[in-house]
Amino acid sequence: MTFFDTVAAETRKTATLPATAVALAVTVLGPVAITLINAVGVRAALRSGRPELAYTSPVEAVFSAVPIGTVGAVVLGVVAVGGEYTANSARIGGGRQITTTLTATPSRLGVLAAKAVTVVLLVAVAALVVIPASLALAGGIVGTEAPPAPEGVLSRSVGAGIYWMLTALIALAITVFTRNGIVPIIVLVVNSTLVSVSVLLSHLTPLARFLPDLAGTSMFAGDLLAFDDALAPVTGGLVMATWTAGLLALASAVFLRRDA
Amino acid sequence: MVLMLSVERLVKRRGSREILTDVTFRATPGRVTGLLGPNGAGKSSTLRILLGLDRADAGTALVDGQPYRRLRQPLRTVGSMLDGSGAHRSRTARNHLTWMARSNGIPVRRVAEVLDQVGLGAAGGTRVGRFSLGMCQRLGLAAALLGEPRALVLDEPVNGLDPEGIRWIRVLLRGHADAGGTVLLSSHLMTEVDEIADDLVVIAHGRVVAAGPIREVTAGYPTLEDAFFALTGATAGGR
Amino acid sequence: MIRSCARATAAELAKLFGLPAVLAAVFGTIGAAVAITWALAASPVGPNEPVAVVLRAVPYLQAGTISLGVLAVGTEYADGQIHTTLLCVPDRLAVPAAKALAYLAWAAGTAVAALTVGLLTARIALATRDVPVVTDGFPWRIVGAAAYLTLIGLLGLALAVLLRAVVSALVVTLSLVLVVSPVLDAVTPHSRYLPDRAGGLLYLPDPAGVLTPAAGLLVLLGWVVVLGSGAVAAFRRRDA
Repeated sequence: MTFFDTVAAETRKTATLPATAVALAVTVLGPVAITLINAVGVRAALRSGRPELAYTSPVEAVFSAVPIGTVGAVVLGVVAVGGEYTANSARIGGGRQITTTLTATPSRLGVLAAKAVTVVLLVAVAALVVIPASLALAGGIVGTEAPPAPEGVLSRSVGAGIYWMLTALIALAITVFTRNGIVPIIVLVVNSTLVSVSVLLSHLTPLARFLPDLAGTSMFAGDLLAFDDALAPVTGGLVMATWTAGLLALASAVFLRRDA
Repeated sequence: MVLMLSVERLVKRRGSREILTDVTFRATPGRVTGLLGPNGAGKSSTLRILLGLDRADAGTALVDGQPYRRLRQPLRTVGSMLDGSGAHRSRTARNHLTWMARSNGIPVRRVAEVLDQVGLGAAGGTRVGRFSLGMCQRLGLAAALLGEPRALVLDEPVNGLDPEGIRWIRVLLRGHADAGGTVLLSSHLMTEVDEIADDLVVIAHGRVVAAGPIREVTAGYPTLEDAFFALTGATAGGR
Repeated sequence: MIRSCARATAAELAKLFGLPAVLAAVFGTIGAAVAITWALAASPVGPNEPVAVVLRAVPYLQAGTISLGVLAVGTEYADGQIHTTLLCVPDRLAVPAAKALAYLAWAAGTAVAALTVGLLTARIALATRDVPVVTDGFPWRIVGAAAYLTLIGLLGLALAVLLRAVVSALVVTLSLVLVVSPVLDAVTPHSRYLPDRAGGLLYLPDPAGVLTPAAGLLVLLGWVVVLGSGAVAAFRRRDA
């Protein structure tokens, strides 16, 4: 069996979970819906001549909607692993799919790598759909009254997509440690919102900007950043990628050593 | 005291498919009634309606003349077991039985008693997620016995039990019926039903194809197995 | 009727106690209260008054009571436990009522403990920074915050009844309260009628002064009643 077969199996397994459909819907429809709300707000603010009341441009309306997409990415990463450890009904002996998975593909690293590839693919597809769609939607709603678009929309869009992918991978790695989706969902969803613990820490120590989420945020946030002295976008992306790689390596080590 | 389980002209639909059609039978005190049928015949659906979990589209299923949902302390009247343990995997067996006892005003000392009775006395503090299939089944039986009920309704009770467990449950159910209790159990295992049941209800494709004392149902066939295939096969062919 | 409801509630209380995830949520919330109030009090940009510090921590802590509400119901749908519950208590109104009461007891205890511990932490942290601590009377806003934390989790409980799964109910409730509500707040003033915004008036005054704390409480209770009745209606209609 080749690695490609394993990826194909994982893609099919993950993509057909109902929870994955919900997560993809959140990743795609969430940002579109929030962009819509934001863009209507921007248009109203521009028409009333008080642009300070809302985000200043259609582009910011899109990028301020990234957190809801992050929620979807977190769920995708969590269910890819968490679904394996959910028990069947007790009638079938409370069996868990992980047993089947590991008897079908005994290579632990192969399974984990295939899961990672699957999650990245799903998030990439979602990002490719949702970011252009949101930009077009916001542009369409705000229309000709929009101020000229700021620089770097393309790189920020790519940055947002990468941020989602890395977040999903971090969620996946943490779920390998916990073997249960509840803790990573609470921690990562809460931390990707306005009540972020990372932002709180950034008031205490400048080192907080090296935390994975704050470092990664600089890839797309532009002026929306909730804290000072952020890293440059590329540096931030590299820092977040390093965190992700480290957590995945640790997750692989745990997954290799543990009995299924 | 008489406790009769009676199912009258039960109909249940899932979407456009009728999974139970005019199912009628009784389980009477002092006797073990076996509900026999192949997988997917409608045994579990019938028991779920009798126990008030699912609603019937037509017909009635009554415990002593009342629907199960009307019972105030149901565990003291009907002990039941569906789907193995029915406990969240992260609880201990003792916690599971304790909350069940609280919900029906059953003295908490019964928890230790039933755990001993089903042979889980040493496993009371173990999380249900660590139980084997057979232990889950024993925990489900402990839950059924908790309220010292007059009637027992058990869905596939011997699933996952070892030979010793199967003999134990046979003796338990026989004793319960001989003491005047009512026992209704479902199974797709003919040898089991043959050895335990006094009365038989054979169900196939959501219809009762035969019912009565086991000798009457199997009359004219060399074994219960022959009777079973003749009765259920005829319905399958006649569809 | 009252006795059977009391028995059902006693069972639900024992049920919550037997779940390691519930104990983890309780102690996690209290631990988070310590960590967050300490961070807020130690931060140079944070408020300099213990009560104000604790109130700033409330938006973080609501994740704890929301998790409690979701766990109280969502775990029923794992491993078929809902069948056992309905076999023990066949009354389809008594089950959600008992669950809500048991949740309220656990959540109120958790909220009071977390806020008290947070208040102590804030005092100690501010004292180590040599900030003079001013106390003027009983901190009623802390009581309001405890009420808010307890009530907001009922939304999680109601959504868990509707969605019948822990993870989806958590995702939906947390996203609505922590993501959608702030976005709507930036766009329209009508967002003050959202459950978390209106309930927030129990511990923070409305800068626009449109709603009083009592009105905010009523709006939040209105949301709870609407979602709760929807959940109960679905629970009664469905096959288990």
